[in-house]
Amino acid sequence: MKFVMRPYHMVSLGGYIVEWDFPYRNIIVVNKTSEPIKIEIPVFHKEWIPEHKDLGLEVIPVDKNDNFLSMWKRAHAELDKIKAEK
Amino acid sequence: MFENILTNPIVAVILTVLVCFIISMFLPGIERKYVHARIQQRIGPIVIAPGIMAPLKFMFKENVEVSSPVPGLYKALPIVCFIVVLCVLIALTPEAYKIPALASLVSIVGFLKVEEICYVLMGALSKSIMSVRMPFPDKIKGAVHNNSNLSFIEDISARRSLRMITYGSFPLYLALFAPVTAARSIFLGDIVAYQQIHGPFLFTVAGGIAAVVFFIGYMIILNEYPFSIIKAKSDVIEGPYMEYAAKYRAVVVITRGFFMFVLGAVFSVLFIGVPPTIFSWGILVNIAVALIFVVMMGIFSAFVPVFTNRQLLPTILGTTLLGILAIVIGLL
Amino acid sequence: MDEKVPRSNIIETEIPMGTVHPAALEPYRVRFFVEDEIVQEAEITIGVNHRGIERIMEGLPVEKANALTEKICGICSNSHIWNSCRTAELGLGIEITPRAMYIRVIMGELERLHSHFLYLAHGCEVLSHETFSMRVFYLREIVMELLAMIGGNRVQYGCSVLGGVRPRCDLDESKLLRLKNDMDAVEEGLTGFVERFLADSIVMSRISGIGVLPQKQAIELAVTGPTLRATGVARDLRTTMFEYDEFDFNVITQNDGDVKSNLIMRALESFESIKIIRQAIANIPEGKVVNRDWEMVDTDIIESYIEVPRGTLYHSYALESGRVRHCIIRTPSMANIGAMQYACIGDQITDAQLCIVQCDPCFTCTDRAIEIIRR
Repeated sequence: MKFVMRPYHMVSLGGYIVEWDFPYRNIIVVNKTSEPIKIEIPVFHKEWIPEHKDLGLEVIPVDKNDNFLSMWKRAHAELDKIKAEK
Repeated sequence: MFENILTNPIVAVILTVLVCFIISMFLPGIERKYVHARIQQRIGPIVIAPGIMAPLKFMFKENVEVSSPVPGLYKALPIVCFIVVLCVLIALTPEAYKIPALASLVSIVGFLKVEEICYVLMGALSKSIMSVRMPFPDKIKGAVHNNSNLSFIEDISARRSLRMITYGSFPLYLALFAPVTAARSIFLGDIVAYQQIHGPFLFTVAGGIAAVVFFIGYMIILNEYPFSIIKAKSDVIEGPYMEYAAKYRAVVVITRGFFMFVLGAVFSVLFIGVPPTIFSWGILVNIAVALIFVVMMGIFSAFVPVFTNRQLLPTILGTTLLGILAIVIGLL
Repeated sequence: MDEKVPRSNIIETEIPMGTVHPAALEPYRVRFFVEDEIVQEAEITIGVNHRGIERIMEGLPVEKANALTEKICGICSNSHIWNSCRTAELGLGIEITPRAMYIRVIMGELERLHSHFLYLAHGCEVLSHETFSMRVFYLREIVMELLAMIGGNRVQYGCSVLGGVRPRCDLDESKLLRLKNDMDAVEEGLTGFVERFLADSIVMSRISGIGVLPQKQAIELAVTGPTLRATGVARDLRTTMFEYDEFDFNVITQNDGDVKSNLIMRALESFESIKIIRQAIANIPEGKVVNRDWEMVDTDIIESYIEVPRGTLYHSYALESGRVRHCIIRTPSMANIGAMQYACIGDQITDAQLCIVQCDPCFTCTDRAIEIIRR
């Protein structure tokens, strides 16, 4: 199953992760490019991360002890900056 | 003078066609209200809603411009279908028997074939937004098969219509020719005359079998459940009719009701020997047959799911064999 | 057959459908790659609905967040608020009153009935069998009225609160009597429907062997709920949920993993739900319906899994000063829909939408987690 990452958009996958064999609690995916990109969901294994980095996406894994909200806001600010430059 | 006008064949045909057309507009409502709704234990629409109110409503709707490579032809096709059905009815009237080229089985089959070809053309010419044209980023980075050929869902419908022409409507045509085995003529006048002397073909063994085959063929050509694969909601949605809106949709709706009546009249002529004319009480037989067919079709379609190719092929094959059996028995 | 794999080498053309399609009811895009009307590969794309509920929940007071979870889905709204409250209750060590537990079970099972009936009706609708579809909808109507009687609405009942259920959802004698009588009516109607449905050879030929999902593949793809049980795996979280400790019911399984198994699965499971509701009516304890004797404390990440009509529902968040942190909600449909693009391989395109809807997909549940930033 796929999910379209629109240009200059970001998503936290959260519920799209099957947590059985996945080391992170959440993933923030940022599309900083000007083209839409399809990502594969659900996420089952950590190999998903390099595979999707190869598509040109920024993938930020969020651990159980990380502060999700601050990581999200940081990524959001970076994306806003890139959007403003374009 | 008034009698002279009435006995004028052209006026007689026009009056007959008008009466039949008005009655035909009630048929979809009867099917929906008194058959489907009753079986499904719901109130259903008012009886004039599907056949009269709906086309009237569509007439006054704003049209949506179709997305077709040949929009003129696409929009003309429902009108062609209506004219074809009209021609079939005219061919059935006693006044037409004086023109053998028109009032013969060959012309009836020809008209019905035109109707079927229209479905193919409608499907091939419709390019609705429901599939390829939907503005959705399908072929992008990360997607599978970014170089695949694309087909509209109406393309599948057109291919299915083509298949129906080649084998799907075969049972109906076999049933049409079954009375010829008794009357030994393909002209409607001879078939009617034979039955008026020897009794209805329906009440013979061959006629009984052929009537069953005719009924199944009737449902197939009307694209009614379960034989509605060319407009199956589960994949091709409305199929060939997808892009018809406003007045074009009105013509489609009117044609369907009219076609139901005319096919009933075909049966009355070929199997009972009663042609449609307002100058004879026999027209009541035509109306009764049309109603019986509609009710039977409604009952049958309410209790079966749509057939896919897996069920359709054996059903059509079985019906075709029955049709052949009817003809063989008729010949013997 | 252990696995269904895409047959990419024999693709003739691609037929895309959606995001609007009458057989699907909810928005998703599916690209069918076909050879002579036989599906060789499929690609389902979701993400058309965007509401970002997980993100909105971030930082909300837990009571507000609980109420918000109910908005995730119009069909299983009760399941979401139940599990969201349950998550906080597990983290804060709140004991739910026994009467409230029974009412939650009754609501959960009524919701299962209405969800399963909706599934059966929708399945028949996709088969283009309107008559069967209508008959199931009539049965569902009884259940919807019962839910409205208890919760005040046909959907979005707002039944569960921290510590129990809302006082207005308490069940008095007259409500219990109506529940009892209506369960008899539902059982009678459902029995009649199932008998007719199974005896219909044409319907059976349409659904037998269609949309088969092999058991091994279903497990690998994390399929849950009745869709998994239809492949022969007896996994039902209700057997481990403390709420169901006092109830006697069977875990229904089917073996073939096809549309027929899935439909029969839901029908038979509905009888078990009726059984559970009857036990709850007969043994409902007296007492309060809500425990207000608890204190808010900070917690680590809490996880709660419950069995909802469509499978396993996962809610997880931490509490910090009474507010929700790092919320994750995984709905059963998420994995189930993903598996269906394999289930339809090898079937006619007329059956393809049927193969997808056989997993009882709920796209409103599944799509909720998206944050879209407009350019």
